Amino acid sequence: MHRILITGSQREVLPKLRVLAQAEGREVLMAQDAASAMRLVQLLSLDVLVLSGGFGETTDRWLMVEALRQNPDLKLLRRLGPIDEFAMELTKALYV
Amino acid sequence: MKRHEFLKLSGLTALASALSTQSVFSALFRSKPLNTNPMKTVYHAAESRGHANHGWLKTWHTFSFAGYYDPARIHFGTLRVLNDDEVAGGMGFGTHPHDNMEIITIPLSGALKHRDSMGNEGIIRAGEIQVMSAGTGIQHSEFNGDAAEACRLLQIWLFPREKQVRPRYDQLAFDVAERQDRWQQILSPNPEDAGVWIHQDAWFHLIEASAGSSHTYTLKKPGNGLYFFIIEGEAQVEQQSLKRRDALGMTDANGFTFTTKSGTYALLMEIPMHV
Repeated sequence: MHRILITGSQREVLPKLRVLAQAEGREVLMAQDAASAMRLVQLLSLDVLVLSGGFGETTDRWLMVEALRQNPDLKLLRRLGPIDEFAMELTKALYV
Repeated sequence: MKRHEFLKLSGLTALASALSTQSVFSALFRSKPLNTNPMKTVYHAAESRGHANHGWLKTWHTFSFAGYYDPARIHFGTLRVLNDDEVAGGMGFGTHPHDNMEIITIPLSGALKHRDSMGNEGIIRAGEIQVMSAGTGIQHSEFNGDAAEACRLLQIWLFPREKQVRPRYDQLAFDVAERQDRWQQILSPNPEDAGVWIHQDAWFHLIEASAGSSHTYTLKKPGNGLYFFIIEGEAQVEQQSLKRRDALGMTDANGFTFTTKSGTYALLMEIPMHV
């Protein structure tokens, strides 16, 4: 889990998730708009894709498919509920 | 009674004389100078752009894009993206979606191969322009059309005037001689006008200005802003010197004039400022 991309349009949420994901040796990228997320997914092989907030079903699905195509071992996390619940989910996924 | 006799009698001669002089006029209005140049500018130095080197892709982002994020550099009016890309031979961007964006690609060197979900396929080179109205949604890929030579291009995204339009694609070749020391229109909102057209009240021009020349541009639509990008060379706009890949955004102006010291290749984008 070296390279993590966190996507979403909720600016107050992303930094919080970034802090959670930040650890030595990890590269944590953030994308606040769909175009940036798509560009990063195309350019980089990710270890973890964190979909927070979402850009709509079509774009989110494209991001997941493209990221999985580049790395079949990709770990995927998608926020569906409140931020605090998701933060715990993310912490578990990354650290437990 | 003649005018000078009346003035002499009424003691107004000196005042009339004084009022006729520019110095007194200026003195009267010194506290509220005439604002003859209300143009506002924003300078974007080439080195202030976001940069990423992904090996096969070297890219410079004028506005926040991909891994570059600066809240002060999100867009200039309806101009959302200005990417300066160098794509290595044979490499490129696989199929990806777009919607509700006007996307203009200007190759600077090499060849760029395009394929999209509407069945369009083609290669564009320097001297050509490609435009795509993503509208309700389009998928496309962009690859360097040459296996060895790098391809350099500018990719520009504008917010559209209207959303959910039918997607469309077009490309057009231009006679580069027609931009020598004059504005060559390459894009407009009008299908019947010169250049390609988009769903936005925007006009793009290219110019190859010779050394020591001066060129003036007048807005097509009052209220629009101007974004002047130096592709090669250098230019001077009022007090602002611009070098290669620098840009100057201008608002509250009816137009502007630039001068050159050396040969300069530049792109001028006239765009609405209200998103």
